[in-house]
Amino acid sequence: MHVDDDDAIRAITRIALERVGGFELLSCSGGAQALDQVHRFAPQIILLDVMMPDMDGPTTLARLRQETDLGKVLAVFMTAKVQEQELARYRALGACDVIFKPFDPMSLSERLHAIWTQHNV
Amino acid sequence: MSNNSESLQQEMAALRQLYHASLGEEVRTLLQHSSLAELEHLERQDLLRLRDIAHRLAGSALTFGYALVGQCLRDLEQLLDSTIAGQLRSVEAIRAAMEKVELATAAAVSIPDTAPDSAPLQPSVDTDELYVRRPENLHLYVLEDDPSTSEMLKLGLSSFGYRVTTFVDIKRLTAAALEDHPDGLIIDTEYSSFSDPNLASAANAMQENGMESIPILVVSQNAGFQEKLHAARHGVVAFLNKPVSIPALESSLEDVMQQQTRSPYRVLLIDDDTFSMERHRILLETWGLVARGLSDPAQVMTAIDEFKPDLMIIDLNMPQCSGIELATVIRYNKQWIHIPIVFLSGEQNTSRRLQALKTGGDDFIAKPVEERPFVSMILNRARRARQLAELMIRDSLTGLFKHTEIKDRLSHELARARRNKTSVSVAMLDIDKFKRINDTYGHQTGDTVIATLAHLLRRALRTTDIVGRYGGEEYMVVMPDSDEANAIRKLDMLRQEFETLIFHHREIEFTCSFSGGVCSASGSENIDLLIEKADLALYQAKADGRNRILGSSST
Repeated sequence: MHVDDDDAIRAITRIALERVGGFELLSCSGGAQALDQVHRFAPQIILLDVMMPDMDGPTTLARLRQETDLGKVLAVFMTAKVQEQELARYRALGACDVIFKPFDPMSLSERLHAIWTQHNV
Repeated sequence: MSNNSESLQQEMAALRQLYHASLGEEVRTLLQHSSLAELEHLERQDLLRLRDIAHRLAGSALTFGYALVGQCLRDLEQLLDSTIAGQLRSVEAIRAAMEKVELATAAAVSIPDTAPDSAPLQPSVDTDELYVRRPENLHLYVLEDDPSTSEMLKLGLSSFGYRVTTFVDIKRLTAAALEDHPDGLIIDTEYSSFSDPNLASAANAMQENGMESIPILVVSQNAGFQEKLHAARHGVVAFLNKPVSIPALESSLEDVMQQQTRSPYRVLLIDDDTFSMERHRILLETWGLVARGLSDPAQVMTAIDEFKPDLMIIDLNMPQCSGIELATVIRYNKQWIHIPIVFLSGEQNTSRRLQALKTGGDDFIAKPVEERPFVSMILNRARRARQLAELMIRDSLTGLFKHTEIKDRLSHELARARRNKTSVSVAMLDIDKFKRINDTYGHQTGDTVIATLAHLLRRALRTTDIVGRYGGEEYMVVMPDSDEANAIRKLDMLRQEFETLIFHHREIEFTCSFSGGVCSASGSENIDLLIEKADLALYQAKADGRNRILGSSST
């Protein structure tokens, strides 16, 4: 499941994950849609943009956790910021990794595979 | 696959065009109230809204390769951020930043073709040399008239993930190659008076049709200097002696095709400057490596232990400790002696450089790094280091883990099963009546049988299971998250496949079989006891008439 408010980023992420990576993807334009559809879609990985206008990534993740048992679902934030303390904050919020923007669409799926392997070993 | 990647390129291009077309409009929305008078009256919520738009656009502009536009937007975003935080309020500065965004955007969209200022969409600039290819996408043609060797090559190479088509006739091979452009040719040669007509005809056909970039590898018996020279003159890139060892062939293929058959190379970056660290990390990851950054040198031991890097990059100047000191500390630990250390530094002084290399560093990279030489050097060093490490832990005939390594891995898996409260199965396999195969058909044929079973095991159990050559014709398989029944089922399928394989010795055809004993554990068991139990089940399987898999709980 990918949550991002930017149409263009969602489109390129769709190609990067569905076409390049062969993932099954649900693309959400915001936290509200994610909360609405998380049950039905039952994602294994949630990819969240950090800064979104209505509900930001960390809030969305916290709400998702309240709404449903995420269990082994991996949460990964996407952001442009690189300060160390922010990374620590994301980790504390339960994100298992952070992907920096801009990202390379051709290798995004491999990156997710690597994160997945790393956390399922 | 070429169709697939073509349509992928088309989709990417279409998406980029779409973005190109909409960028101007998006930026106009952002800048619609940008006169000084209007900026004066912006409320906090307006600033927040503007900041969010700038943030969003910066992210997408950078992703689509509009570096300058992205950077200007990012500057604007930061300025708005500090305005919102009340740290400064300069309408003029905001206005100036907006003007820059406007200018950069105008320049970007005025170029009719979607030629962005830099193109992170695909690392396409001169990348042939570096691009990491996966073996699944590589198709090999093999010329081999001996059916046993042919079968072994096919099975062995496919166990590493290559697609393999075998031929017995050079004319057929050449005709097919001209049709569908394979990624490599492997030719078994038969030299007479220092030349091989098959090799010459294939090489000439490739050359005449502009396909000389397709690498040709040769396997040969008893070749001397003249034969090798003949091969070199026909552009042969690798020359292997028979009997062919699949691991050796695979390693040549990896060299030749600059690709990666196993997991991506892992690089640990140690740098107190998180910004430069992140930059290098992203560079490496863009090229398909897995990189992890570490800003606190004190954590280095744990990081190496957990991350198991193929290579380390250490900044020479860090406030907590120098790169040289850190390298010395790392080198105290002999088990990490094979991991190359590359220093990052602006150091020009030759004697200080020598000093740094003396303490256990392997190379220098000058800051700021240039993308291509940097990635190329790291890839090559990591590849070489991985090859050396593999030599140490892998058996040369089969490419499987050696005795001590497989036992290490087993104890590792036992500990993990204990932690995760899962079960792990260990199996001992042994080729039936192997001594008779050896005595009847000779050691070379015996080796082929051993290697063939190894490739079969690795191909079928590729993802999480671990396979080792425990002794001469004895194998150990460690299967995490697998109970006894599960493990027996999997191995029994392999047993059935193996018994149908036909081996050849000159004109004689024969088949082989193997027996196996399986024991499962929850992690608390003693490792030697566990192996002994699996061994006992194996002996029982032999005693019951061979060619079967037994579990230790049923014996």
